Amino acid sequence: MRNEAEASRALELYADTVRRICFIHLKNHADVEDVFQDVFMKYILYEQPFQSDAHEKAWLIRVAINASKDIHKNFFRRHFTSFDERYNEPFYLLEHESSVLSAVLRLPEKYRDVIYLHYYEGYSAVEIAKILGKKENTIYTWLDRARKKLKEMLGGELDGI
Amino acid sequence: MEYELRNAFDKIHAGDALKSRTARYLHDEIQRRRGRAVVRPRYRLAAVCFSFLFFMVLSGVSYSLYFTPTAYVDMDVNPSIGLVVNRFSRVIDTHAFNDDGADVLDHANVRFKSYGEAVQILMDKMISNGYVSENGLVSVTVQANSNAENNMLAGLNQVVAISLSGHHTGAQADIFPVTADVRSNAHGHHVTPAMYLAITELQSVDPAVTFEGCRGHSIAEIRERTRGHGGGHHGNIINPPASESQRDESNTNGHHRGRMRGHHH
Repeated sequence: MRNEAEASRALELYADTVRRICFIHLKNHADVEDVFQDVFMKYILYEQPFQSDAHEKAWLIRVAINASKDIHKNFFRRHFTSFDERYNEPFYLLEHESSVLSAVLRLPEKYRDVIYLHYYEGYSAVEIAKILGKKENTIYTWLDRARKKLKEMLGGELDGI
Repeated sequence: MEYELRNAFDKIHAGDALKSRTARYLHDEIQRRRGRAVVRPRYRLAAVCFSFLFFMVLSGVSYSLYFTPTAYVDMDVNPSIGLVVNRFSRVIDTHAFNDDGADVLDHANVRFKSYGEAVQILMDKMISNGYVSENGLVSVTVQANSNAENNMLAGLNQVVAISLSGHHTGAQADIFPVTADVRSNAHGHHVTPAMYLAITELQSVDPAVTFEGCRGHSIAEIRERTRGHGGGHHGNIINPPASESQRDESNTNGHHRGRMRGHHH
């Protein structure tokens, strides 16, 4: 088991990354807090050494995505839809940022992941394939389809993607 | 567009409150799991060892209590049988003093039954196998501490009486207590205490008589020989020799010594 210093370091370095993944998957505060804490709990219990910081970050991203998906498997959560509280968060987005983000959140989950990992975190399709445990071709396909869907939703605003 | 996407995601961050709650949660979990990892296995091992030890001691004590003989019931019809009884009135061991006794025991499982039930089963078996003749004698002796002895004698009187009357046999029953010495001497000669007393009584009038010489004879026959030498007592039922029976004087006078005819009860 990792010690408190390692836990604090990981929390300082990767809290925002994990929070963003929670944001694109989870609608309410309670779920976010559950998953957020669960991810770091798994981190302190994971005793294998990481080859590098990049390896450590990729590991946390994968755990966060899996934990977020797992929470949807819960019977109660599947059958009782909660209010989407994401728009009440004090993130102070500009209008065009908000509309882009809103379009991303309307994509299917798997497309949200690849868009976030590719365009924000800067991972290549090969790296995303490794993180998500999918084939490269699958990632290319998902990226292509996600782009098309975003284009449909945002129209001319999609320049640069 | 990519730029807006980056800017938008940049503004999403983990709040201080969330980080602070998570840090506290991780701190508590680390402390809790550390405590359990260091201390609990040791206590768990100690608890397992203690439980095992307790179980072993309890098993040993229980075994010792259950298998410690506290009373002896010996029957002599001609099949001669000894029963070893524990403090819970259960038969914990049996032994035969002759071939007929072994034959009866082979066909009657009385171990771990109450001594009353065991005597009843053996009586029924001996009667149905023809060992108890119309004018035969059923001798039963009990050796136990005084309290248990009285209860056992009363119980066995009833059991034997019921068995004899149930089979309409005219055989007599002689049920009486013996001392530990008598029982020990008798078993030393591989005979029942009742047989031992009958033979020693015969020896008192005919010193040439040996235990080996009497083997194969019934108690009734030995008493008949004693009477032939002018010894013994009137009737079929005789008392133990004075030296052995002194301890039982009060008992014999108080009719601890059972005497009955089966069909009269």
